[in-house]
Amino acid sequence: MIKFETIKKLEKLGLSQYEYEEIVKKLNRKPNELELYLFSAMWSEHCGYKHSKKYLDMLPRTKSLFSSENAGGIKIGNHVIFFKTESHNHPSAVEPYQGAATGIGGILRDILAMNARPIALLNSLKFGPIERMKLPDDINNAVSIINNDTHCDMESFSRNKYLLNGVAEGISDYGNSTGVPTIGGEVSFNECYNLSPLVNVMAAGICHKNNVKTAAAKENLYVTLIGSATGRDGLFGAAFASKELEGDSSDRLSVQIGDAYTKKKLIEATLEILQSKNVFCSQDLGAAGLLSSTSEMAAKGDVSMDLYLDKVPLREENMQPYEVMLSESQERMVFGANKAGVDEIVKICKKYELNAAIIGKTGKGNTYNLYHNDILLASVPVKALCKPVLYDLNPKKPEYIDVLKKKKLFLDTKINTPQNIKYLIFKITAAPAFASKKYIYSQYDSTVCARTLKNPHFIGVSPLYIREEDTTIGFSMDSNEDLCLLNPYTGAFNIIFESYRNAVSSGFEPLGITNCLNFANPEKPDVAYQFTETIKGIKDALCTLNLPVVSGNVSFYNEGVKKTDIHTDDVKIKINPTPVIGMLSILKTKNPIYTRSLSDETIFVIGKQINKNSCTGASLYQRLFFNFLGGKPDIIDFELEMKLKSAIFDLNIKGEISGAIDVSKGGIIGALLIMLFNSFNFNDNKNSEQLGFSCCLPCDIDILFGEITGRYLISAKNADKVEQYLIGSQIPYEKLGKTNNTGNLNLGFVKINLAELREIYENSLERKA
Amino acid sequence: MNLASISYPQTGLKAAIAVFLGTNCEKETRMALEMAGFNVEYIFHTETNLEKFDLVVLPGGFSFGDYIKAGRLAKLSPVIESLREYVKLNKGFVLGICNGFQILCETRLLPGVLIENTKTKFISEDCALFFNNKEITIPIAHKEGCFWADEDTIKQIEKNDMVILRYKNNPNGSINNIAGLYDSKHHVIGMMPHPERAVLSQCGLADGKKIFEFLKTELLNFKKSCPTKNLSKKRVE
Repeated sequence: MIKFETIKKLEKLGLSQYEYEEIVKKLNRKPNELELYLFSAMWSEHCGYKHSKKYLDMLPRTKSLFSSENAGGIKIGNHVIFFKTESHNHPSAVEPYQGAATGIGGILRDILAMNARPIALLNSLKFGPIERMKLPDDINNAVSIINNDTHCDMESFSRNKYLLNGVAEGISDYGNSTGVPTIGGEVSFNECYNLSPLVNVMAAGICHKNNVKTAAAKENLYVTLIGSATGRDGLFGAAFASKELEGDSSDRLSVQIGDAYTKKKLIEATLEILQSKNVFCSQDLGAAGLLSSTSEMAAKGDVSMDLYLDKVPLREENMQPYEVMLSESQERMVFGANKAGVDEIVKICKKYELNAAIIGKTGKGNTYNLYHNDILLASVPVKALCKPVLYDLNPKKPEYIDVLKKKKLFLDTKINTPQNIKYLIFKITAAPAFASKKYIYSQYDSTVCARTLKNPHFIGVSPLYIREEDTTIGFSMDSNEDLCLLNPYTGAFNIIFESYRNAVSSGFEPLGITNCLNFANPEKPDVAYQFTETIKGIKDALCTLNLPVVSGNVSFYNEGVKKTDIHTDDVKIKINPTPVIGMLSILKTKNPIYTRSLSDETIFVIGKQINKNSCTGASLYQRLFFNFLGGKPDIIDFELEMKLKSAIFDLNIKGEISGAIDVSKGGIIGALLIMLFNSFNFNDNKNSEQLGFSCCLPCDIDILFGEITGRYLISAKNADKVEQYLIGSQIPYEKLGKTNNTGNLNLGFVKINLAELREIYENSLERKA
Repeated sequence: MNLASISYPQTGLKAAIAVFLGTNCEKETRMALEMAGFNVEYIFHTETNLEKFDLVVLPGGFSFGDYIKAGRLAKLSPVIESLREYVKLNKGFVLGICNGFQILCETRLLPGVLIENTKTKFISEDCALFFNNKEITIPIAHKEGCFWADEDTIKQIEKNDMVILRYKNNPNGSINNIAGLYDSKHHVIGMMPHPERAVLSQCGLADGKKIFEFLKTELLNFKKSCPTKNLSKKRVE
């Protein structure tokens, strides 16, 4: 029988009674208070993945290296490219600047722990809307179903702007100072993120294949802690990320504070330390700080560890042992080294003006002992600590899925007037979800390291030149929260292909992915369903494409409480299931496909052709213009996707295409606009102000803006050759039209000044944020 | 092919790259200098002997976290003390890029100050510039890059032909579109743009090479005219 006080304490620590009993079983006794804290942190979702581990293990990992380490990688020549994503959603919701900054800090340390030099950062940012889309009555009246269930008001718009600017500034100040370029990513806006914004950061690093270091310790090593002194910041951060936010300002105490200057010194010091043959293992201090880093080191190496808490450099007085163990103070790393290694570490740290302290020793056995002034405070089997109770989820298909599937967007045919379409083209161009993210990306240093090939807001993958191997690799981050709400399985499946097309459109062959899975509370059956279906979708897509997952991160409990008036219950707002896919690809053709100057070229739509019966569920325009989400998502045609890839690669090798883009957000109009705007950015195109395009498209919203899979736009000087090739390869295509120097976008039924439209596209976000 | 294994034409010129805590552009700066034919060594901010170098480079980054103001703390380091002597005694050239330019202004080796961009945000973009009357494109990446000086100083700068680089579409609010400066002797050069990030054709932009080539030529001329630095002894044939 568990005492009432214990039950109260367990509740506070986020442990269930069942878990408590398991702990007692493993220890063969009741844990003392400190031990209970240790288990609570290690068995939290954030550290232990207790609700997700069983499912994550289903994902394919062949061809990936070190996928059970801090970060996994893929071999390219004699080097390993490590990459991983991490979420910093909860901290960013309460303190956007520090939350985003420490998110970068954390993921960089994961890469660093492998002895890889960080070479790139990307991020996927999701916020609530920053404006309400207002349409004239005659367009609104044309819609028979309008979902009016919105949670937006002026207050939330300004809060979302505050979050957006805070996060961007945090990434800018911190990321730039570390000397790692931020080369791309995505930013989107959706009502489901009003109370729970998402900040997912991806980092990549490079290491020679013979120099990789792992976390596994061996016997008789000195555990050496370097970097910042330990304080109370970020205490219970792991537990904090494993619950729903209460919107209480006390949450702010759990946010860690970053220090970019110390991080930069830590990067250089760590890479210098790990060159030593006397240093055997390394770990970064992230979630659950000293506890998780050192216990995993011991567990992976199958050794025991004694830690002396009085040896840890502290920056605050009277810190309790559990505080020292669980503090998430930033900018710290821990190494296992022999005596000579320790001397080297101390010397290097002196050069970089960092603390270094021997805080423990490894030995034979399997216990994890904590001492303070020679008094034993805790002693637990290290494997038990690092192996939390794993749960099966109880997925149940939520009713909304079938309801949404049956919903249809009935648009009055009267809506399809040239005037309305013109209006909507201006609207989508200015919408933050579609408009250029230049405002945000220009705040990130994208060119440091001299590896970057293009600005982050240009189209296609974000390429990096790897001079160590004389090759070019590409990264991208993709997600689609509407599609994943509509159908989590198809949504996840399609995102992988979306990433795939993104790489292909630039001439790159995908090699593997990392994922960041953002969900609400998985203990609820509907969320469990979304999660398990997403995993299946990712798994099936990867198996189809024969690609591995190399690393990943799960962020649960992304829901917030909407405070209503005192007479009604508070409403919980969950985020849509949001798997974010980070993809690594490699340049397969000689040159990447840049969409540069497009003078006197023909643009083709190749692949699936959209028609009245196409499934355009979750198209951006439907939510944006009509606040509608429903219908079916389009299904991938695998063979066609493969054919399209070889066609684009072939044509690029032959030098027949000058530009390519996958058709995604905003449908044909969206892709066409982005492609044309992109060519304005290159000053070898002196006459860009006169660039125009003329085509003949049907005056139909769904055809123009509807989103389906398996389509690209390609542009070519010699249209006949491309046409012959496409016919020969049996690829469906349509000749869209030709660029000219009229300065207008002419769709046949309407003419729009392109330069004017581009000005809106480029500057809209800056004006609205 | 590994770029490190490629040998570049040797000029016999020796360059030092000063590395402060927080410096982050030293690697690509080294690559760019080596491609232009320099022998390059890193020196730490505690180094005081600059005797053997023909060029001292202060690379980009955030020296000492750029606390207080960009470059303010770096100017107190031992290497900068020696650099003042180095300049005073005409030992060779100095190139400051981005944070290096900020340090040179803070130490008064170059006139004026670099203050926060008029937009108050970090700006990272490929930037069109005028260099020796030709247009080139080179990345910029800074938050405190707006060049400011009083009227008299600006007059002096223009009169003595001290502007090496000018922005085409002034992104940060600098007076007279000034992106880079010489000192009055044309031996100390500072610039906000990052030419070292634009030297590999594999990465698209390669206009940065023009700046390093120019620097090389000027330095060789300087050494020819300078009896204390006899080049012929060092030249690798």
